[in-house]
Amino acid sequence: MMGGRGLAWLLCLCLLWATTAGARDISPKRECSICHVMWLDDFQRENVTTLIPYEPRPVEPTGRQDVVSTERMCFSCHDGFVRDSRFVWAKREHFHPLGIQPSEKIHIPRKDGKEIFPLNDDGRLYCGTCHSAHGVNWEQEYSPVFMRVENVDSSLCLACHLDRSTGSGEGNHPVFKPLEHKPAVLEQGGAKFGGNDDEVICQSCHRVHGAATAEKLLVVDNTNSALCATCHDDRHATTRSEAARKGTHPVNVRPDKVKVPQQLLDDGARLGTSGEVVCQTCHRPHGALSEGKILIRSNEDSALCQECHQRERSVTATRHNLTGSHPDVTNIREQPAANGVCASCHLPHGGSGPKMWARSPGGSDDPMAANCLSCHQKGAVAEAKLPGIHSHPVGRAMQGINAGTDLPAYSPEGLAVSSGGQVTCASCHDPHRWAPDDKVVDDLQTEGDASNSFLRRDNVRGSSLCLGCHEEKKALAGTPHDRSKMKQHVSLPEVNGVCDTCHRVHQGEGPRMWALAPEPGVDPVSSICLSCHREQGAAHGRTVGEHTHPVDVPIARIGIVATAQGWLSQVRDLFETGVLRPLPLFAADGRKVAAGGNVACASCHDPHRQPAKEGKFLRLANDAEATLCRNCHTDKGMVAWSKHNLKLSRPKDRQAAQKVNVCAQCHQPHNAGGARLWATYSGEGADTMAQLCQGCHQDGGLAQEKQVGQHSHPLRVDVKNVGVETSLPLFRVDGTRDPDDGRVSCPTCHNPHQWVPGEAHSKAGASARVEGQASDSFLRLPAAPAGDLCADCHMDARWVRNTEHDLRITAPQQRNARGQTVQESGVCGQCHAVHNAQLRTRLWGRSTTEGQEVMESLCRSCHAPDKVAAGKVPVRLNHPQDIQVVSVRGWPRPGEIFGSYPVYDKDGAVVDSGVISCPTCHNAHQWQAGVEREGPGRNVEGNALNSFLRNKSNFNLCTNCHGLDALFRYKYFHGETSRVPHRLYR
Amino acid sequence: MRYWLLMVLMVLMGWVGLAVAQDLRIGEIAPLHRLAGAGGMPLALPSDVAVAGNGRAYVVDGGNHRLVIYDALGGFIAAVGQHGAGAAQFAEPLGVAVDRHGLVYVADAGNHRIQVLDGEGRFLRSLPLLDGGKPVRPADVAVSELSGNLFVTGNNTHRVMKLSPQGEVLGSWGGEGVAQGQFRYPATLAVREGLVAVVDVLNTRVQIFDEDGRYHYQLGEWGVLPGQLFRPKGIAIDQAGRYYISDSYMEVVQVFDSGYRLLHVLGQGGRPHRFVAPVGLAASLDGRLYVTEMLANRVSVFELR
Repeated sequence: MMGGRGLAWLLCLCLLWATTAGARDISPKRECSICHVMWLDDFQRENVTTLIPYEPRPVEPTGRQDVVSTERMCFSCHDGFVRDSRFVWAKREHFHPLGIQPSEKIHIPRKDGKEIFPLNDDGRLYCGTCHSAHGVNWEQEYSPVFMRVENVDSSLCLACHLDRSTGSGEGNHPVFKPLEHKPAVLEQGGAKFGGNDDEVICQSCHRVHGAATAEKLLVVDNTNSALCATCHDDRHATTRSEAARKGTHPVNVRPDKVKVPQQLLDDGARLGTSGEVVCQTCHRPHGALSEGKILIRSNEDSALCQECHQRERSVTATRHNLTGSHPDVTNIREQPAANGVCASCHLPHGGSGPKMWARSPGGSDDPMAANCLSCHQKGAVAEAKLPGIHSHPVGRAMQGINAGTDLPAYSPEGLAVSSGGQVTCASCHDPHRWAPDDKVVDDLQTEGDASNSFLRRDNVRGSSLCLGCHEEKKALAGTPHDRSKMKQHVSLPEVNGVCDTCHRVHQGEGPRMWALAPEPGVDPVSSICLSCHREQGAAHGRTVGEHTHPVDVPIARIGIVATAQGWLSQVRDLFETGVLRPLPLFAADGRKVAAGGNVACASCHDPHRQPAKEGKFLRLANDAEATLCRNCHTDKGMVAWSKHNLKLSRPKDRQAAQKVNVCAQCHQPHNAGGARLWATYSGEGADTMAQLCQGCHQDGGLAQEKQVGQHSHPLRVDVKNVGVETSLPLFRVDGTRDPDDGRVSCPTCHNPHQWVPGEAHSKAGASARVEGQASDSFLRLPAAPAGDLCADCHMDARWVRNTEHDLRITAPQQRNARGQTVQESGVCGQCHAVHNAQLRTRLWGRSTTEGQEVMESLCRSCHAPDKVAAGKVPVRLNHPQDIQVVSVRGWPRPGEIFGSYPVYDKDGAVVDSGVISCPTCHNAHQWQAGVEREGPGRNVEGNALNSFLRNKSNFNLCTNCHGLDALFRYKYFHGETSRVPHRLYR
Repeated sequence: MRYWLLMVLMVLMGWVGLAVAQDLRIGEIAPLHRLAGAGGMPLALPSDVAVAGNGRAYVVDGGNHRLVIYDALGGFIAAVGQHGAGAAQFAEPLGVAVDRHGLVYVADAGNHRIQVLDGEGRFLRSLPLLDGGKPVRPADVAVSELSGNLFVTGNNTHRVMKLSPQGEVLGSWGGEGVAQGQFRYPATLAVREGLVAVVDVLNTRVQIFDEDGRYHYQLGEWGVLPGQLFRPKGIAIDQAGRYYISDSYMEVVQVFDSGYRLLHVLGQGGRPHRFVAPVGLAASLDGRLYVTEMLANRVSVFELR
């Protein structure tokens, strides 16, 4: 059929196909040769030169093998341009081992007499051992392509490594266990999970290609247990503090206090890069012991714990080993104590507090102490050993004791720290050792004493344990508070150390772990002092007496602001020493507080230290400058620079010289004679305060030349009754201040501790020869020149200032009876003398001129022809004395707009029925009736509307009494030719 | 008789064609320097290189997820980026191109985008790649000097995308297959004078299109003889219009003239030069050829003779 022509066309077409169609058409041969390149016919042709040599089984670094399984062939597609497996080659050394012969542990499964995973010609692993294009379906969901078998749930891995999946019972990390959550870090590292994508499989930790580590092919570098931490975060920490918070054994910390024995390391225990303890120090994920916890070594009877914690092994022979004494008591995991000595108290993971605590902590704010109270509490195994209410404090900063002790302080996480740590039970006790240095063996029966009892240091002799921290208390030795220096009959027990006399570390009787019964009724701190310093106490010769320095009072009462940063005084410190030295203050429960505390005995006294030449355990010197007293009573210190310092004013006085402390010249802090802790004798006076003053200011007294005289300012005046309000202090009879019900006493006007009012730092009074003026003289306010002190009470008289009766205006050179000018005496002092007055009446302080009665005499002190007010003398200046006028105080008369008109008896006292005198019409302290203000400050001519008249005299003043004919009467009585018998006025 | 003559003629044509493929001629090259170090961190599986008009070379350091810049003498200038999806961060980048303005385009494969940087490596913009709503994993990017448009090969779509300079998709062509105009894993590509040359890896060819995707020619064929391709990966076109095609398995670079005829295989001393897994290529304006040797973690620079 087909002729030569047709045959030629067919042959041509075949040739064309053979030469041009090869690249475009898919053929089985071509597809195979995508990898099986050596199957190409061109290699067999002799007349061509191929670009690569014919080498079907080349020698690779892994051994001789088929070209299709060489790395070069694999990478020619997996370089990203076809499939992206660059992550595999990016870490080429992190491959599953290639080019090695399988170890004896590896058993390659066989099928039909052939190994499922073939080795290369040299019997070594190569890519083709696991990979083949002819293996699983390319579309297989869970397994990557080119695997020889499916790798679902790491089944391909386990085909060879079957012994690694047997679970913790056979020493392998569990697999096929679901995770609560898949760690993101693992997924980012390329980890895979089995089951429902939530189970741990081989590939959860290992990655055959592109692993993070070359060794073990881990998805995350596990050098410091980072891989373990991805799932076991609750058991992983980077610091001891974090471990403590998680209640787990520390990892990633150097074993400074323990040593990981070499034998353990030889058994496979690992350390971190810098020798840190890591998870693999105790655990190994494969090939561990077969007891369920993949441990390097068995922990039966806490043996593994004690491999490293050798120093703690000694607990086994003490009563803290519960395996023997309380074998059935369980920890929080319900594990009986019999399981192991360590496990009774510690859990390597899942502890309930610091130190991986295995028991339920007791009630304490200090976590470490709470651990101890797990047992040392009522109802617990150690209820016979309770610390008691009054026990050594815990949870306080060790720095507070200012001692360089070698006893450990702990952080809240239970870590012994070199700074910032707190005192806790373990500071004194080593719970793993019955006696220091194991000198004494615990017989489990005998009651412990200060030489053992798990103490870190023998406390029998000299209280060395106590003094290790409380170093400053060593100063007590040899003082009267040292029991060895006390008389033998003193009712205190003979004890081992100086501390034990007064303190009992646990089960104390009172605050401060007090070993004696405290004295009731006072603050907690003072109560323990008074347990000895009382009539029936061991220190009955050193009681404080009825009048003693107050305690349990806030320091703020005397103007001290106590803060954590120090003390500040609201009163200027006379000595200008700067910041006051803070003294201890105490809260109501006896705890020392920096701010807001109260004064107690221990504020002034340090019972553990008695400075040389001083027998009162004082915290500050009781010296001439009164350092101790002045530190609180800053407003009293300036007395040292006044005549009230007897060393200045009475330097030759023997008694004064003996009392070095200026305060002690008048005050005694304990066993004082009376109020104000008065140290000296008292005089007779209207009240307690006056009596104290008169102790010196009386005949025979140290200040007998400074007495108040017969006519002096009255005391015990109730200013309320005279309608006065004052800023000056008022006092009860017993000497206590009372601004409401107190009355006038000497210190109402005088501040005995300060010479110049308002000038605390003035040394003007620091001389025995200085004579006081109205501007100083210990007055609380200056009485000169303006009379501020007087005006503070006598407010109605203050309007005299700057009137004609203020001699600063009218007669500055005039002198009063004491020879003082108005500048020296003050406005008031020109007419009145508060002490040693000329007359009792109005405490008159000027030389009088005789008048018809005493009040007229007072006025005529100035208003007389030869006196300073000679120009102001009425022709007829007095009212008939034989006329008794009724002018009842409080009964206003018609027209008495500004008050009543007083009438006087012969002594000048205002009475309801008396004679009319000058002040009946004149108010000498107020220039104009109804105008309550000071005068104009210059001498002005008066008229009937002012002129110190009690009322305006525009017809009213006289007509109030004399009716409408008053003018005629005036003319009759006051005219030059008048005052003669008249028939109308007989 | 004439039919027999025709048959003999066609047979002769076939032998001549085979003889062309079998003729191993060597184009001599001279090594200049290598780009390997990068700021204290060696290159890791570099996959492509582009050379700017000023001689700067931009190397995709895919194993380190960064772009490394070298000067014309091979001196290290800067390394840009790290693994990530942010600006100037990369995830498994593969290809790179530089336009006549010096702008650098990186095929950020794992992030399914083209990142545009300035010549100093500063981020300018990101062009997300979607084809039919499907994220495209770009293998390479090239820029047309004529139109300024971008051409991107999609590793997972087996297509070529055409983008405006602003990233607007102007069109695409291809699809998985062996037919003309189809691809099986298009890899690198080069554009010159309106023609787009696309390396079609598993089809072992280079297909040439115009800028609108119209098929123009096929370069190379399946095989291990000279002029044939086994794992073609990289392509570069020099100023003379010669095509340089790397083969990452056969470890050679073959050169074709602008008429698509094999010129020679690059080599030295009359023997083919064996590159280590050669992939991306670049031809500089001054007659240098940059060859990315992926498994050697370097870019080798040669002078073309």
